[in-house]
Amino acid sequence: MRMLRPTLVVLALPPLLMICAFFVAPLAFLFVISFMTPSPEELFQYQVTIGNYLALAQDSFYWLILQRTLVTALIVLGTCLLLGYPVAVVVSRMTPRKRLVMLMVLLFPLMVSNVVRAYGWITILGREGLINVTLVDMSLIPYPLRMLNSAGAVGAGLLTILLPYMIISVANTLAGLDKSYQEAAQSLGAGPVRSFIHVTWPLSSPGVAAGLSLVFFLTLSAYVTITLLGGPRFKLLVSLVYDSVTTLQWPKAASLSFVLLAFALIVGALIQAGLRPQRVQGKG
Amino acid sequence: MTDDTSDVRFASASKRFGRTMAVRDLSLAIPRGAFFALLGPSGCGKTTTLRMIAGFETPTSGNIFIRGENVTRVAPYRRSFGMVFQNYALFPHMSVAENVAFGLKMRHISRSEREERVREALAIVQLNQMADRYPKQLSGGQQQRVALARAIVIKPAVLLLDEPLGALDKLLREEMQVELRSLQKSLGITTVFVTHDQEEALAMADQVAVMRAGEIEQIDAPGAIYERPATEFVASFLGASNFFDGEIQSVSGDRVRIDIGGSVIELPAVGVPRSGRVKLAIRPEKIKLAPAGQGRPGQTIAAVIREVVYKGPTTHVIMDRSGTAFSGLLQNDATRDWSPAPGMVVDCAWAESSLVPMKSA
Repeated sequence: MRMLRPTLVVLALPPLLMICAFFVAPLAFLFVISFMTPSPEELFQYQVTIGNYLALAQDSFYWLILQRTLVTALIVLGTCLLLGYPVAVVVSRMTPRKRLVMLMVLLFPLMVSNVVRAYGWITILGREGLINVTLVDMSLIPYPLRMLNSAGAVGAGLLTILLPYMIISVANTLAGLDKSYQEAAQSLGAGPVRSFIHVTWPLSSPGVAAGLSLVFFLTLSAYVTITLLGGPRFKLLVSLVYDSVTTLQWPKAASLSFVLLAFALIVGALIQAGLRPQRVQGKG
Repeated sequence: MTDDTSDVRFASASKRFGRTMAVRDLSLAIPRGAFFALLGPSGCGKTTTLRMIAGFETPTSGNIFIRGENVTRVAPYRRSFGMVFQNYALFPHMSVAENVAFGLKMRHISRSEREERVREALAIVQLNQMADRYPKQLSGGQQQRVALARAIVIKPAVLLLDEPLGALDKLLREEMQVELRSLQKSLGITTVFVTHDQEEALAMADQVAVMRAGEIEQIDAPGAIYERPATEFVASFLGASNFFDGEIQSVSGDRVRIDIGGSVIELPAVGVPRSGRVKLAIRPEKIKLAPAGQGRPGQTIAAVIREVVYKGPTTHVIMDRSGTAFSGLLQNDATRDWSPAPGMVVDCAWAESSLVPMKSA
């Protein structure tokens, strides 16, 4: 391994210390709490137990939420990739100037608060919302559909937040690809489809992996969107963490947090293992 | 017109990008087995010409034929060509062997034959031991060989090289020039390569086409194009040239007398107009310099040395003749018994074949 220059170490030190003091240490403490015994009088009792995790493992409601979280996240990931990749291809072929404008346009929705956007969806999907009112007025449906508090509502809400992340990371990778790779594939007899499968797709894997990871991590923690659009009927893992904290079940909240973290790490690792972006990255 | 002996043929092909004509009404036949160089400054249309053979650019008008087949509207991946890109464009996620096998795989060639042909191709470029390496583990020269192996393994009708040696250092470049040429000869594969390096074109090609502003100025064998450049552009782009403005004085039989600013010289009347003005080019190394009074009259002009530049094996002499500067070259061998110095008057002599009349533009 190469030694870093002292100036670089000095520059990196303050943020590293910050992260240690305000992230790593609390996380370690949280880990400890997850093994503490719940207590009716205090937040928790200093007595080591694996009961919190066992309780989760035996709770069928928890397993339902876990499964639902996974399915929702996978649907969001798949939809983001399917909708985002073609847009990224178009954006990456623009002139640098147009691309910059386009990326700003894509980022624009992110400038609106998640809360505002969730309420926006409520006015569209709600019982008295735009879609229901229109359909009822046109007598296409006899009474309003229940669209809120469902997987669809949460999915739609998450997509509008997360799609830009996917598009931007893929578009940046594609824009950085030398077009001679595709030409080389064509010169060797690969048509558009096979050229995409064998060359463009693997070469874009760093952007796809980054985009998928971002989208997945943000899906896991998108509390506002999940709560406002999922309501009490459609809870995900992050909702359970919040509910446990507000009901002062700290050890349970802590153990759920680590399940969430493990979830993120496992899927993150699977994304890396599946796409192997390191194959096309770096020199030497 | 059908021409069975040409592997690549352009028939009045033009390519326009917006308002610029990159290639203008190009007609050109590249014979089977030739090593053909497209030489010219950047923006002269040489790369566009190459890319039209590949199909990466479609001509705005005119047609292109590969082995007699009109491929003008045929997609690149349905044409028979191999290409070595300037940056090699090796697929970073594939090993050397996988890179070379790619074209065979796309052509649905069986695994066993594929392995056999990859081995052969890698043997040709002497990289058999590197089959399992990845491109980023190879040196620039090795990457270039892999790119070459990948292009020839599919046995294309024509091999296209886009500034193939541009990314290599000087020593390796000269080595690869020799290697590429002998490889091309032994495979007998029709090769078109683009370069802005005149030495590279002269060293490697059988035929050199000098391009300028979308048009071919001259096509000839390296020797001919250097010794008998047709235009002022070719004469100055390929090596250094001196130019003399001449006035035709008289024509008698097959000889012509030309006045070049005070001195009258005689030339064969080939490629020279009957009357009026003509521009003559001569290479610096073709001018024989001697101290004044030793030259032969009729083919000799006097000049004053302005500057002397010592360059190791040669000495460059900048001279002045009635206000026009021109340069000569002296070999620094032991047989020369005089040394040029500024202010010295010298006689300049040359063989009459060294003085090349330029086609008027």
